[in-house]
Amino acid sequence: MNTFRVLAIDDEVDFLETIVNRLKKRKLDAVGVTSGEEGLKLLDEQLFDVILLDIKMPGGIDGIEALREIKKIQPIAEVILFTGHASVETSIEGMRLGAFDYLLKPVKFEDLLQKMASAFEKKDSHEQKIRNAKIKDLIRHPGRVFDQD
Amino acid sequence: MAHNTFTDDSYNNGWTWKNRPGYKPILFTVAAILFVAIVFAPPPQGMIDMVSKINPSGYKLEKGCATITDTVNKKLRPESFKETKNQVKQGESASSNKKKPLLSNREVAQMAKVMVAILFLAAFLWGTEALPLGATDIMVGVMLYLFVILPINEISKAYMKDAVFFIFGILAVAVGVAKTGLDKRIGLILLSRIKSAKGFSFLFLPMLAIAASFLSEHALVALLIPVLMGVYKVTCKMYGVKKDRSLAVFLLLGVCFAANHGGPGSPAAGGRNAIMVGYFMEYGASISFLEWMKYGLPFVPLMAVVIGAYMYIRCKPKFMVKDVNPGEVVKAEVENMPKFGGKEAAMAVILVLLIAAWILIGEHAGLGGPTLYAVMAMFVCRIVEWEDLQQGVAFDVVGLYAAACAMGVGLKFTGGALWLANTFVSLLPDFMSHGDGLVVGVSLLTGTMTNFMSDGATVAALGPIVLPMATLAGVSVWKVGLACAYSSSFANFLVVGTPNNAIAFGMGRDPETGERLLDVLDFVKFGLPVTILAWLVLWFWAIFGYWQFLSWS
Repeated sequence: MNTFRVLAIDDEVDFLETIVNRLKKRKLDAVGVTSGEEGLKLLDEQLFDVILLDIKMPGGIDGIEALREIKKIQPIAEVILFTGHASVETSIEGMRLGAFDYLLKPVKFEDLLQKMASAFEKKDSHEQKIRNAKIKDLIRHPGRVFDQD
Repeated sequence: MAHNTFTDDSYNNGWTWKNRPGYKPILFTVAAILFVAIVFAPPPQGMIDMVSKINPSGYKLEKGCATITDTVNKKLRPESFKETKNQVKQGESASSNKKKPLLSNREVAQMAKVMVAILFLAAFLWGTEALPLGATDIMVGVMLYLFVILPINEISKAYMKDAVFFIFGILAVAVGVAKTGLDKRIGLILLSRIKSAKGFSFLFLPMLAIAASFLSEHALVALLIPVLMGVYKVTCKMYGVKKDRSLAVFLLLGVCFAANHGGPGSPAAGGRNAIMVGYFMEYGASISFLEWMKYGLPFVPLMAVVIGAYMYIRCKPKFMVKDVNPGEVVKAEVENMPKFGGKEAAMAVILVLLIAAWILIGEHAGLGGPTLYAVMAMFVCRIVEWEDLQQGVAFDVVGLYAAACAMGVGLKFTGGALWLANTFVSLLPDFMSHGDGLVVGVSLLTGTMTNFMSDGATVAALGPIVLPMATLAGVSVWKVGLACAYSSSFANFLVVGTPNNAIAFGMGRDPETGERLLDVLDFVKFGLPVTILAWLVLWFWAIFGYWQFLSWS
């Protein structure tokens, strides 16, 4: 119950597999996809707590565009961007668009875990606030349950 | 979507026909037109006859009064009433220099009719939310002043009863319990002992129902639903099942129905009980906390076992998973809970002392008194701050109970309650108009109505009608009042029937896909039979069962 769901989106297959396997070993529910399109499709079907997103993915939609779409589909999910030295500016732009933070590649796994834990904490607290507000509303006005979707 | 809210014309420009919660202009206009029409219509002849009848059955006349009109005049025109009495004694004819002439039978009947119209208007506005709850609370007072139903000082007095302190205190204590996490600990510890679907049905649900008799049932449901969603998901994964609707219905509706039926257990279970306690007091038949428990608590565990058995029999054979072990799933969460102590322990002590005080000194200190002591103790122990209460206590809900109390006083005083009771009794089939048949009839009426409007508003609206019905039929006021309050917990078959249902429906989502796990029709399919079972248990276990061996006020 203290675990959380992670979606990793990165076109570097080896890097992606390593990250996902290591997260699973830490008992996290992790899924990896190699493109923004695949990621968005999955996000339409499933809820994730933390999304790891490579900012630079050649071909298809780029990281920033994917981030915009992610925030539309699951606004509460926290996004951590993977970036190289050359694309730090883009990552800062990503943070303006609502990303939680960015990490420079190559990523230290412990740093990543720590960052993910903070992101989940923020998401969880945010979600808790929304849940409490909804419950408070329902206790006074049960009829509003259909307006809350 | 905050930006949408601020750009919405209906919020910015003030006037619009568009409905939103707390502002439904069409409904409000219709209600206002009907109300005005009723006010201007002449009072029914039956009402005029009733207020002029000597010693009407079901109405407690003031000393020295022969009719309801006399009683109203004695209170609203004391000087003229006294003068007339003296003149009658001395055999003089009525003088014409009185400051205010006595009210005629027709005028008193008019007041009773207005009071009945206020009751229906308030119930309609509370039910439809055509006005904000708080505004309807105030509207009742405005009407009492406007139509001079009670002497000025008694209007405010009618609002502020012990029952109102009681419900405010219960809501405030619920804030402290939630803030310290005591409710979560109780919920999780109860759940951690459960190892199978059978244990969930026959052990957890009865324990939950009993807990809901003393703690906020809504808070318990709200904290258990996300935990049970975790239990559901882990169980599905364990058995390699993508989704198991029967398991979800079993867990969510089981908890929801069990919490609903904790209501009769004690007056602290919810505001509707507080209202009934207030009405009893108004009718001179005060009930203590312990007495309420004596009549209501034995209903709770049996009903919860019946719910458990019903859900088990209907859902378990359809489970796609082999079984469910909630204890195993919440084990880690229980282990991660902070050590019991500090403010949480202080809150537990306050809660235990509060229940003890309700039982031991409630008869002398009322129920509101000890509850206020508990609120004070929470401040002294720094468990809550005023801000917490400001945010956590729904003052408009407290106001609803206050307004209900005031309406009860007005209806009783003007004879409006007696007229309604007479009308309802004449509509009932013969076997339901007297004895325990009346109690059964009242439970049917309340149990049905509570599914369509809030339990508090149901008891608020029906209480002033059913209590005089008891007096008219020569049945114990407690019997009828308790049957009314208990059946107001039977809101099982509509999502919007009670906050518990709405919370289970709204929060009951698959944690991975966000898919809703309950359907609107699930409440009808499972809730309607549960409501019928609740009536049967109330009638055959309580009314025709152990109630026969108890003494009645």
